[in-house]
Amino acid sequence: MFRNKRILLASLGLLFLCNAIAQTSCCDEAVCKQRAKELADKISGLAGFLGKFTPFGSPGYPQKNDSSLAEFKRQFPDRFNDFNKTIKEISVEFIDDRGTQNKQLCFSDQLPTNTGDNTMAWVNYIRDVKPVFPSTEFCGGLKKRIEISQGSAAFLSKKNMAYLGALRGYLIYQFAKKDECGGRLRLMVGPGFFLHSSTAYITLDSRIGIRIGDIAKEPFHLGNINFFAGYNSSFGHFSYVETGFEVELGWLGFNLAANYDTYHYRWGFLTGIVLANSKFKKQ
Amino acid sequence: MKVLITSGGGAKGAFSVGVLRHMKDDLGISNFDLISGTSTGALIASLASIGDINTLANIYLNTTNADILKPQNLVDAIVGGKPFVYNTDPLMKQIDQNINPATFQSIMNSNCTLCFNAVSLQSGRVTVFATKNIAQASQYDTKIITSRDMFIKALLASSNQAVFMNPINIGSDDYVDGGNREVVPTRVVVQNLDTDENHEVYIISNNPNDLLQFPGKKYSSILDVLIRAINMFVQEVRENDLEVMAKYKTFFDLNKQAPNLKMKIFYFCPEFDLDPEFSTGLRFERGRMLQWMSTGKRIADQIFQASPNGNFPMFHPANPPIV
Repeated sequence: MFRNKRILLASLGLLFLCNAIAQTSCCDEAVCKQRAKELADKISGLAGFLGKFTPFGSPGYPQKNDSSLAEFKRQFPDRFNDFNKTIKEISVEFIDDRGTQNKQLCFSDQLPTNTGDNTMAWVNYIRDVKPVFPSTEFCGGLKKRIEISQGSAAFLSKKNMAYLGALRGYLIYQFAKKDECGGRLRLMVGPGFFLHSSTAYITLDSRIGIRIGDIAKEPFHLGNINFFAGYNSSFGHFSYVETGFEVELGWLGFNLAANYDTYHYRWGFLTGIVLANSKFKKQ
Repeated sequence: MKVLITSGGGAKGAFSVGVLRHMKDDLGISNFDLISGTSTGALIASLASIGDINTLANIYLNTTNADILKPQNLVDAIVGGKPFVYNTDPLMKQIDQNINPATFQSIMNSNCTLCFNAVSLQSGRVTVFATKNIAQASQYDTKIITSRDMFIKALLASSNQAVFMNPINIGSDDYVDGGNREVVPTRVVVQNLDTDENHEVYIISNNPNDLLQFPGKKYSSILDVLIRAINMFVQEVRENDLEVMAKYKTFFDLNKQAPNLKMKIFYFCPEFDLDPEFSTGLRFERGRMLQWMSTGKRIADQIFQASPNGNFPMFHPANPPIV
């Protein structure tokens, strides 16, 4: 019992020590600082071969930079490869690091004052990182919507072609991190009213939706395109499997679904308008 | 008086942080009597007032767009009465974490008078939020910060670019970025300087002196024209702001109460537009911010070496100062 306690205390001590090491700033750790200096010196030396970077908007951009890189590659192929390799190492180990050691600042401090920004301009030219903005779509939590659809119950057969209309209400749960958007999956369930020719059915409808992509041009985010599949049943003579695509523009949406009537074995379709598509407001 | 003025510019604020790091680490300049900041410069000003430049540097070098902006669905924004394209709740969280109660107390207890400005949508006027009493002037309204909540809201108000980000409600007004009327916040500074003492003023602008020219470029997209119009507007505002300081320098030299009194003004700005592709400053990309921080350090080093008595006003030869 006493021995187990000692093991437990030793483990807790080790955990505390690991945590303390993880919190130490990179420049306060000899190995990390040495690595930052090694990479900063190396990239500064290699960028020195390329000379002055021509910034965006200046005459000769980007041709001057491209020709400098091409000339560097032609004259010193090994150094050119080393240049690209070092940029990858700097990116992974320092610039894009998400740890708590402030590695970016430590690397920044190892760059020479008079040429550091020119070196970084070449690094960024090669990295060519585009800004990433989070998606506005598929926000986590509960939503509700009303959907009105109409189409044909059997569009492949002229003989059996019949009107099909639906009014459905859905409760939606979207999977995403708390208070965040950009999820991929939603589950939907709710009651429906279907009109098949002149026969009405009350149904229970379920659906799964998967976000395929967003409709956005920075800074404007308009909506998303999603794929869905579902099942609508009256638990009697009305039984439809559906699959389709939807364009969702905020509170408004449009979808097109192919339906398979599992009772009569025939294909139909529905075009729908999504309305009142909104989050549940917390009271 | 030792004064720091930090301008707006979003992610380009990394340039200001680079200047401040050089000033603190290499020259030991980190205590100021008065700091005036706009937008990203207000965020910088708050930690600069307690000399915590390392935290500032780490904030900039660790921030991405997702850490501060949450895009707003445009359809919902139009229909739902949300007049902005980005929600800044994540930025609010960042400020809340970095200006914790202890940091806030340090700022309020420091000897530095901290000012940051925002523009009221209702009055259209600049409001200067200050940590201590400051001189009143006809060019701006004043509000004294009384709580951490007010401090955070005022910081956010100063930072939130109108239309792009959500206005911030404080009291009965909705506030947006102070840069709408004052990008380099000089007015509150000149109102608080006297002619009976020496002054050292450090002005950091995250934008270059001249607007970038694009000869032959065809402007066929609404967004391109809009961004270009914003750039021209910001350029005009900052030129006016600098002229205010240039005029005060002339006034000081003519009216100083002893011949040996001096006013040294150091002006730091990049040679080129740091991010012409995203000139509103909304590209928070770590590699680029690291580059801009290095630019700030280099420019500061060059200016302190070349002009130990200050380098401002320094006007374009074709455009001499109006005094």
